[in-house]
This record gives sequence, structure tokens and C-alpha cells, in this order.
Amino acid sequence: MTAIVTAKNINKRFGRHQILRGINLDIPAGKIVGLVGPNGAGKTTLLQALLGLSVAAGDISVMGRDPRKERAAMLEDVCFIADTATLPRWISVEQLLEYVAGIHPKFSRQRAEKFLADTKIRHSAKVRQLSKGMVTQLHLALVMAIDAKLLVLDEPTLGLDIVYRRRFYDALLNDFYDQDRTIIITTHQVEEIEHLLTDVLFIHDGEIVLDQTLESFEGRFLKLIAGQDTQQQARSLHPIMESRALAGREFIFEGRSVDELMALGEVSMASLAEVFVAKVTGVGGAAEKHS
Amino acid sequence: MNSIITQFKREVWESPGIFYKAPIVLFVLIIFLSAISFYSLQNGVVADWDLQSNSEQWSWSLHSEIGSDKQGEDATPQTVVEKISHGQYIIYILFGIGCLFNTINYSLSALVTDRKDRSVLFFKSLPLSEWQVVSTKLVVAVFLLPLAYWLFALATVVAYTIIAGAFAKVVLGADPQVIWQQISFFSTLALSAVGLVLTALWALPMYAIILTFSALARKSPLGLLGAVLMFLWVLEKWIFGTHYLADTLRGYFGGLEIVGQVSFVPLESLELRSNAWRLLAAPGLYIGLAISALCVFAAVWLRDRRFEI
Repeated sequence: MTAIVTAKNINKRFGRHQILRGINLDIPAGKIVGLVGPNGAGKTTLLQALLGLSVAAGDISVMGRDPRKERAAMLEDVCFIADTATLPRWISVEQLLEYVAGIHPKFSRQRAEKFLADTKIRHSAKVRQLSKGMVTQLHLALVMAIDAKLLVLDEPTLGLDIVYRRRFYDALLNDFYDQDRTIIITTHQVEEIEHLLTDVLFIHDGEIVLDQTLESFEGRFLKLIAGQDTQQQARSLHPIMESRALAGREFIFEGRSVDELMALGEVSMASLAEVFVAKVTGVGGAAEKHS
Repeated sequence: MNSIITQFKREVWESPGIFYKAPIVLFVLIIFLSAISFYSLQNGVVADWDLQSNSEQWSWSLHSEIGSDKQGEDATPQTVVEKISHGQYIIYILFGIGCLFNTINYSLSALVTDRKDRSVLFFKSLPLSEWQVVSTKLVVAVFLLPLAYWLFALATVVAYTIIAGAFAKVVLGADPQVIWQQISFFSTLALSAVGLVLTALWALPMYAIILTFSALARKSPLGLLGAVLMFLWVLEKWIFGTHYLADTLRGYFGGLEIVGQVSFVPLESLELRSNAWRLLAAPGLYIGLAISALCVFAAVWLRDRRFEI
């Protein structure tokens, strides 16, 4: 499968602070990749480096182009939403449609109009007159109407209520995504995008700590709820995290089989959120052990 | 081509006050005041008008009925024509001042407002290079805004002359065509167009520097520019005891003054040609062009590397 995004040994430093540490990525076409990390993990910096918005050391190729040298040409095939509050507030909906149609060679105004027809957004309205939800719908309509091969979303639903967040992701999945298109989403609200993803990347402190397809993820991480009598046995299997649960202690295991754990308590699949917490807390998780 | 036109449209949408609202207000104000002025003249003055259209020695007497200052004053049609021509110059000057003020204002905010409201991220999501963005802003400041104001000034001059012609016909019984023939309408028009081009050439570094500070500033480009100039001036004066910066600025604005003079001398005069050649031959002009190129590079670099506030 052709790689849409390739990054080798990406490093970025702000003064003394190392933001990205030797990041390697290889994202093929047709994937929905969740770039998940806590605040300050380096998600936005990584995306900005991939989009040519900031300069980082290392080799980057997006759609076969170097984003640092060919950003404008690359953006003919790549869309990104930094967050939905970035549309200029002084512009009217009509002007915005005309502007994007004039600038972007792969924008279909007809398609955008079709999306907007299902909303209450008036063409004469200025962006500043729209509610936050409407601005999201408008931005999404613009993006959906661009025939892009890669869509990059950086915390796209930040500040939106649950209804709009759900609508946003539904529209994304139903109206944008197909086998030729790739989506990269960054968020720290893991549970919200879990059902969308084909692949997941966990980033913590500037490093990729997990790079997994969702298919293999499900077989790799297990959750065990153990009673008082089996907790020591569970600990001896080196869980990646242990925490208090209602019916005893909860352990997260990586690379163990269901058969190994079955005898120790109730076994289930670990969710993305649980593994994320386990991976990023690391020492904190260990500290919680035996508490 | 479509994307270039769209970029210019964006500038107009973003700053309608600067592009057409302010000149429209100026147009309405000038025409309104002119109409009032002519109306007052009509009510206060009785004209005894004798026109010989085939003669260069027209006679034209104005007598006031209600004791205005002009009571008994004799005036020739040539005087009136001169007053109309003078009015044209004043209109061009007013629009020139309005243009300068608004263009500086536009340039100061051009590369900072989208960074302040974060819409720069939206614009950066489109296939548009910062070279295109910065050069569009510079072309707008140096050429399009002056052109827009020049067109509005032209429209105002036409309207003003029509009112003057109507006044001459209704009150003085004169043939407006004769008035039109006497005023140097096209000469003034051509002259202001020459002034437009020369001003654009001379003003280029000024707007390029302002744009660079607009790309650099996080809060107030004007404050930053003022602080840098003040710092350099104090540094030069106290440490080196020289005043090259002040001299350079004086020389630069002196050049703008010559551009202004070019716009107000007869088109066929030697003074115009001599001043125009003085400007075109001035090394400062070419140094200014080189500074402009450096500023554009700097502004693009800042927009690429340091756009976030």
C-alpha cells in the first residue's frame, strides 16, 4: 500500500525543551489514524511539522512531497482543520465559499452548497454571527467539498458540545472517508474517536509510545479484574498498569493471552482510553500499584 | 489568475472601510459641501454675465445683492475656471491624504490581524504560499489602494465640475461646455496618474517595512516600529554621535515631497520632467527597491516560521 505520510527521525526543539524525539511514521492510504496524547505531548507540533507549518529536523514526505519546500502544492491534496474556531470572523458565508472556490483547485462549490443546504446557515451571515456549532458545520462543509487525499484534524471538536461532536465525526465517516482517503485526527478525548479508527498512535513527551492497528490492538491489550486472592499472581505477570476497581483491583496487560488470565479473575478487552492512560502515566501507574 | 483575483477580493472583503467606505464618505462630503457652497453663492450673488465665446478676453462681473464680500467685485471667467481647477487639486490632495493614512493603517494590520484571531491557520490550510500572501498585500498597499483612491478622486472631480457647470448655466447663464473646455481636466488627470506611479515607486520601501513589522509584531506593529526607530536614533546619537538615520528619513520624505510637487505642476512644464527625472535617477529609489525586496523576504520568513502569537 502506498504511504501517504512518511516521517523519519523527526526531532524538534524549542530552546532547551525537546518537543519531538526521533519520531518515525509510515501512514498508508485508506487509514483513519488517531494521534492520541495528553496536553503538551507534541501532537500539534508533530502535525505542524507534517504540514510544513513548522520546521523540524528529519525527513518528511506527505503525498510524495516535502512539506517544507512544497507546502502550497502539497495542500492541493491535503486538507487540515486546526480547530473550527479558525475561520475568519469578518468574512460572510458567501464570500468564504467564493474565496475557497477561487483558491483551491479541488474545491467543489456545488458539493459545499449541498452540505450547507441541510443546515440553518445563511449565505449572507458573517462567521461572527454564527454559533460555534454552525461554524463547525461550515468548516466541515468546506473540507468535505475538497477532493483531498489526506485530511488532518487537530483537536477538531474542541469546545463543542456532545451533539455537535457526534455529528462532526458521523459526517466525517459517512461523507468524507473512503478507501482512497486518509484521515489523521489528534485528540486527547480517546473514547470519542475509538470507534472511528483503523490505527492508533500514542504520543507522550515527544515520543511515539504505541503504533498499532486497531485490529491488533484488540488482541494485544487485556483488562483483568482480580479479587484479593489472585492479585499477587496477577502482579507477577507484569501488568502495565494497576488501579483500584469496585470489585478488587484492575490490571492492564500487554501481550498476554486470555487463557493465561482467565483463572485470575474477570478478563475483558482493554479500551483505548485505558491503554492510553496505562501507557502515558507509566511511572504514575506504577506508583499507584499496591496503593 | 483566478486565485490572484480572489486574493485581491479577500483584501477588499476584509477591509471594506479602507477600500471603498472611506472614499465614498469623502466623496459625499466634498460634493455635499460643494453643493452648499454653490447654493450659498447662488443666493448671495447676482451675476452680470457677458460671455463672448470666441474671445479670450471674456468679461464677467459678479455683484452681491446682500452685501457679501464680493460686492462689486469683478471677475473673469478665467478666474472661475482657475477656481474650479484649484478645487480639482484640493480634491486630489484630500484623497491623497486619505489614501496615505488608510494605506499605512492597512499595511500595519495586514499581517498581524489573522495571527491575532488565529484565522492564519485557516488561510494556511489552503494551497497558497506566503509569497503570494505577502506580495498581494504589498501590491494592494503600493498600487491598488492608491488606484482606488485616484478613481474615487476622479469621480469626485467629475461630479464637482458638473455641479460647477450646472451652477454656471443656471445662475450665470453660461455654457457649461465652455467651462469644461477651459479647465485642464485631462491634464490634471494625467498628472495625478504620473504622480500615482512615482509615488508607488517611492513609497514601496515604506510599505514593505511596515508590512515586515506587521509580520513581526505580536501586539502593535506601529508601537514596535516606533520603538525600533527610537532605539536606533538614540543609539546612533549617543554612541556614535551621528545622525544618519534622521538624515535618511528626512531625505526619504523629501523625495515624497518631490513626488507631491510633480503632481501639481503643468503637465508640459520642464519642472515636471526635471523632477520626474530627479526621482527616477535618484540612487535612493533603487536602494529603496532593494530594501523592499529584503523586507518581502523577511516578512515571508516570519510568516513561515513565526506566525503564531
